[in-house]
Amino acid sequence: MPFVNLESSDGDLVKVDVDVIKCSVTINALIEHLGLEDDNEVVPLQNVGTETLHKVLAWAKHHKDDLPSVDDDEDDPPRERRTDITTWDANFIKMEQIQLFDLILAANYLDISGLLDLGCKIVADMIKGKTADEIRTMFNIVNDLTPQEQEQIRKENEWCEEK
Amino acid sequence: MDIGSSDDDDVITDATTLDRLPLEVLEPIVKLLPYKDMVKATEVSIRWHQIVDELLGRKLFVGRACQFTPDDEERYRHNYVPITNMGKLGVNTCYVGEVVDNTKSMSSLVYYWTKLKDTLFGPTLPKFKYPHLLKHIFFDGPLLSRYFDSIVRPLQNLERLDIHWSALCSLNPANMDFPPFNRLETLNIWGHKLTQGLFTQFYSSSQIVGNLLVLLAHNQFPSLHNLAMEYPFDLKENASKVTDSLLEFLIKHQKTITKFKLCVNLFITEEPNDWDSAEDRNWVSKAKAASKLIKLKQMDLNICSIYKVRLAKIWNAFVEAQNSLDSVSVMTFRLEQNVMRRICEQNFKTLVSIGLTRLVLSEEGRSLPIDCTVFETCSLLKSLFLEGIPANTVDPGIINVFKLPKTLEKVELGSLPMYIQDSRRLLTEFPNMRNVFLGDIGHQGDFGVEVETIKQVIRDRKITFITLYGCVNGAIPEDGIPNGNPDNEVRINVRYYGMLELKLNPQGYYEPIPREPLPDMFVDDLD
Repeated sequence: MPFVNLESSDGDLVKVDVDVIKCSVTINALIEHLGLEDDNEVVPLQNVGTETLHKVLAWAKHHKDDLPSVDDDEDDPPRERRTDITTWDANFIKMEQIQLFDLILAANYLDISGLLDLGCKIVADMIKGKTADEIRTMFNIVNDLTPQEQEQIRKENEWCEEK
Repeated sequence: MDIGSSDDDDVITDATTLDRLPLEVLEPIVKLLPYKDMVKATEVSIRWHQIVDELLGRKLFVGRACQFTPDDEERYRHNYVPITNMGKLGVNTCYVGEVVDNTKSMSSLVYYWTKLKDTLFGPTLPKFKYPHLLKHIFFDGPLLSRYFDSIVRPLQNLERLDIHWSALCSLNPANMDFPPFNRLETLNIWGHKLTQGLFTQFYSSSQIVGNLLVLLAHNQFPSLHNLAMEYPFDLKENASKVTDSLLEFLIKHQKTITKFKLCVNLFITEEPNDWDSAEDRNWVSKAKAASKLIKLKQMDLNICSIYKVRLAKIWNAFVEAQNSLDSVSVMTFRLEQNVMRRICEQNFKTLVSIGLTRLVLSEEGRSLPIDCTVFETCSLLKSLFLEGIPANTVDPGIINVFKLPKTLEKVELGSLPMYIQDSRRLLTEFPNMRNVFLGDIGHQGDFGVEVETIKQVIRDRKITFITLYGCVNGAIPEDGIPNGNPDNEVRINVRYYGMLELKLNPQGYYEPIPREPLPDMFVDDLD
């Protein structure tokens, strides 16, 4: 079975079964483009740290036999496509916020739609039902709106408050 | 702090913040939120506000998509929701499609025959819950008077009102007595998607004209600066009345109005060719007098039908009397050389954009040479659009590029023969030129664009967009012309319909503009 060597941004080499990482559109394209015949070829991933890379691979290994998702039906909003998170995924995604963001960024960079969807769903769940203040605190976001702007936005949103 | 030191750059280094995530990731996250949480998210920060506002659009589409919807792709594609939603939401922009009672189903024919009857509509139409928020409202479909009355009256912050003919024709003029819209800046009365046959079957043109006159007679738009209007399709003896009211309306708003767009797009009434009666001369002087009171910055005139001789004369006279336009577009069938000359002469200090089509017919209907010296004095001119009569390339040398101002950035020329030396000049000697479209300017003998000129343009790498439509003079090598990029050579060639389209890519080299392939049926037709 063909393997590919991935080099993390920390400089570590990880040997991966091509079959496992085929979920990454980015790596697939690289392999095709570079025509990696030789097992010693290295694919550098400048945006993915070692720790994150291992997480990505763990997810990819578990999902390697998933049926390929029926390709993007534009009319189908993502929220309807993936309503449920499996128990395995739920356990897998339990991690520090920093690691979660790293994972999402990696999934985005590697173009792994299943993993990206999972990450987005988790973050969206964290946001649900929170006030703006709680969202800012939770995610460490700087409030750069002036008091006037905030007042204006609140006024525009008024209608949504009731019921 | 050491300014310029890269250590202090404004890069997000805080690993704990969600703002590390790029827009392409944040957007799908926000999309997953329930509506209420999405709205809440606008209060988080400027970035979040922008993301959500864009996602939500803050727009509402109610009723049902109307077949008369003006050409705005977005409106066709958008999901229209039941009209009852209107009463629940606070929005900035609302598109009101056809207001029908969704509980009744009927064939479209029955629907059209009965659509003006009360029974088809719900008994009451909800009012906006927060009318002060609403800035723009677009009526795309037929609407009963009492609905217009109950919806529009409370909208005191309205900045833009679009009324489609199909909405206007079903109103009762007696009910259009609304209070002044102090903030209304844009009024658009439009209907060019209509076909005469359908319209005459289902709507009363006298009702439309009647309502239009009522609307124009209103003195309720003290801030109006942008008016766009289309003449109703079937004027009969009402052409004078509408023209008169329109002139009066313009005079009434002379202090504020700066943009005026007028369209006579459909076959109205055949008018006599001998327009030079005493009555006609009276009209022309009336239009001139009105025009002198109004200082427009932008004027668009579109009179397409060959029968509208009188209307063309009247409104050409109106345009001619303007003297501080920065943008003018005149599409009338009989635009004569002297009209073009006067427009340019009177506005040469301000004109930035000129568009003239169907131009320059002699009395016999032949195209005449365009005297480009009229553009020479327009020292600010950036955009020029000229269109002649299709397939009339018998009179050579009609564009003298040498006389065009060197300030030009965008040029579009269609159905006008052009010498190869002029096209070369246009494509290689204008320092600011960024966008060129040449269509049907000839492609044989002395006319068109030489292959050598195309090669020169590719070497120069200055113009951002070029489209040459059926005007390449000479044979382009079968494998195309190299784009000169040492890293990624692309061969440039003519595509279907004899179209050569080029666009500078981020690396500064040309490549063809990607397009959807034509459906097979069209490709077959080509052979």
